[in-house]
Amino acid sequence: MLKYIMKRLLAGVLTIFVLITISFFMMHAMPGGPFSPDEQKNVPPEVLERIAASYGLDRPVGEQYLNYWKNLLRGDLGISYKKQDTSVNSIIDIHFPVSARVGAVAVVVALLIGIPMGVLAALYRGKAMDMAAMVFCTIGISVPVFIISLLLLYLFAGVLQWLPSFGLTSWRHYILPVACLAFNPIAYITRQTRSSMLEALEQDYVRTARAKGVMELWVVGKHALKNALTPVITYLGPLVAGLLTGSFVVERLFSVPGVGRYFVQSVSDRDYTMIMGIVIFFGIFVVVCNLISDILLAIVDPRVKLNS
Amino acid sequence: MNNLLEVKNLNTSFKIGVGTVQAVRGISFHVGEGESVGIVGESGSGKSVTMLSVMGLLPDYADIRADSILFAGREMTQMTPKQLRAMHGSEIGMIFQDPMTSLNPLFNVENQLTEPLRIHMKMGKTEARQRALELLKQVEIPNPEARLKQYPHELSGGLRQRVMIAIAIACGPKMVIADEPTTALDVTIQSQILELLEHLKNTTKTSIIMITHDLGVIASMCSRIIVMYGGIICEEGSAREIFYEPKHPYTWGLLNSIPKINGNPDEKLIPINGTPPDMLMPPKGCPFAPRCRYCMPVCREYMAPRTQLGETHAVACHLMHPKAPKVEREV
Repeated sequence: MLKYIMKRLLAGVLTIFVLITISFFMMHAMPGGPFSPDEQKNVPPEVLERIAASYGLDRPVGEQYLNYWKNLLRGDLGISYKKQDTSVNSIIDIHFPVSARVGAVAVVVALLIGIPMGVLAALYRGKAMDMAAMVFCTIGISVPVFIISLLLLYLFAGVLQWLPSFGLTSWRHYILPVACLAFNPIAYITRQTRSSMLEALEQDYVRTARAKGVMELWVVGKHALKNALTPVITYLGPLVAGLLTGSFVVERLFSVPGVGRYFVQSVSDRDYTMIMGIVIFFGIFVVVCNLISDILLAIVDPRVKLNS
Repeated sequence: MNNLLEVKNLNTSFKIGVGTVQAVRGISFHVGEGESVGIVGESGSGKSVTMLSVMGLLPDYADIRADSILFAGREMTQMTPKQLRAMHGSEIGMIFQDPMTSLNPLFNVENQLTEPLRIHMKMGKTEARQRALELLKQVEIPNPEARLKQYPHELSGGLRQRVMIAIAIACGPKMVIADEPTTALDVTIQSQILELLEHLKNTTKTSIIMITHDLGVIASMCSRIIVMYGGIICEEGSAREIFYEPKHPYTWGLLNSIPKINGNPDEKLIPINGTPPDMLMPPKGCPFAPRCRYCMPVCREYMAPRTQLGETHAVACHLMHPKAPKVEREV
C-alpha cells in the first residue's frame, strides 16, 4: 500500500514536471506578453522594456525556465505581473479556501442528491420517478453551467428575491453558487448510479442475498449499492478536483472571491507567474485527488490491487 | 413419510415485450421429509423457474399462480413477503449454479456466511463467527480461520461452492434446493461437491431438491426423479424406475445421451434431435412431439394425460394409451 502510494506520488511528480515544462514554453510561445508594446499602448516602449527587464523577461526563455524552477523549488511561485506587490502564493492562499468551501459543499450536495436519486430511479425503473430523474439528468448534462446559473440567478435572486445574488457572507449566499456547481455532477452521478444499480440488481449475488432472507432494504442498500458505487468513486477524484478549485463562470456570476476566475483572467492578462502558479496548483490537486479516489476504490473493492 | 413440500398446479409466466413466456405450465409435485428429489430437464424446461417460483425469488414481471404450495404444513401462497423472508435462508437454503457470481465480490466470507445467522438466529458477532467456523469445517474447507477473512475472488470455484453450501445449511434448514450446483465446476470438483452434498444429506436429514440437466449427477443422490420438458412434468418416479423402466421417449433420449463408463468406446451417443419448444408459443399438444420419433397425430393436438403406473411412477405420454402402438426404447 505504502509502496503503491510512493510510486503514484513519484509518477505525479513526473506529471507535474511535464505539465510545468509544456505550460511554460507554450505560454512563452504565444505572441505578445505581459509588457508587449502592442497591448500597452499608453506606455512608451522604452519603459515597457525596462519593466520587462526588471522581471527578467528579456532573458532567453531557457534561462527564464531554469530561474523559474530555482524559485519554484523554494516554494516561491513569484510575483503577479498584474497585481502589483502581490505574490501568487498569497493569491492562492487567500482565494483557494473560498473556492474550496463552496466546492466542498457542492461535492457533498451532489453525492447526497445524486446517489439516492440514482438508486430510486433504478428501483422504480420505467416509472414516473425514473422518467423525471432521466429528464433532469439529460438537462443537467446537456445544458451548460452558465445558462443554468443565469436562470437560477434570474429566478431566485431576481424575480422571487429569495436569495442574495452576490457575495458569501451567510449560508444563504452559498445556496445559488452551490446549486449551480452541483447541477451537472448531480446529473452525472444520478445517471451513473442508476445504470450501475440496475446492473447490480440483476446480479446473482443479489438473488443469493434474497435467498438468505435478507431484508429488501439491505439487499439494495448493502449488497447492490456497494457494487453500484464503485464507478461513482472513480468519478469522485476528478469531481472533487474540479469543484474545489472553483469555477470561472459561477464565481464571476455570483461575485464569489474564489480562485477559479484567476485561471481565465491570468491567461488573458498574460500574467505569466499567475498562469504557472495556478496550473501547478491545480495540477497537484488533480493528481492527489485521483490518487485518493483510487485508494478509496481499492478499499471498497478488494479485487482492485494496488500494485500496478 | 410426511410431505415437506407439496406443490399443486403451479403456473409461472413472464410478460416480456413480444408476449408471454409460459415457463411452467401446471405442474404438481411433492417432496417428503428427508427425501432427495432430482428435477431433470434440458435448458429452458422450466426446472429452475419452478423452484424459484416456489421460493418467490423471481423478478416482479413473473406471474406465479398455484392452487397451493404447502411447506411444512403452511400455505406459502398466502404468505406475506416478510413471512417468506423469514423462511428464506432459515428453513429453506438455496445453492446456485455459478459460484463465481453467486457470492458478493465486495464482502468477505465471514460477512456473507454469518449474514443468515445474524438475521434468522439473532446471533451476535462472536457467536456467529464461531458457528461460521463450524460450518466451514462441516463443508470440509481446510484452514477455516483464514478463509473467513478472504474475499470470493481469492477462492477457487470449488471452495466458493462449498461456501455457498455452508451459507445454505447455516441455519439448519429443513430443505436445501440445489440449482445446478456442479454445472459450472470442473469434473473432479463436481464429484467432490456431490459427495459433500450426499454426506450432508445423510448426516443432517435435510430434504434436498437437486435441479440438473445431468442425469448422471443425481443417479447416486436422489431417491426420486422428476423429468421436466417444456414446462410440464413428462415423467416421474423412483430413481430405479427412471433408470431401469423409463416410459417416456424424452426420458429415453436423456438416458441415451449419457456416456457409459464401461461401454464400447466406439459406440456413439444418441442425441435428441431438434430444439426445445418456444415457450412464447408452446405447442398445444405434447411439447416433446416435434422431436419425438414415436410421435402420433394425437400428440400434436392434445396434451397427454398423466398415467399412474405404480405408487411412485407416473408418465404423461399418449403411448400409454391402451390403443397406442407398443414401442420399445432403443438402446
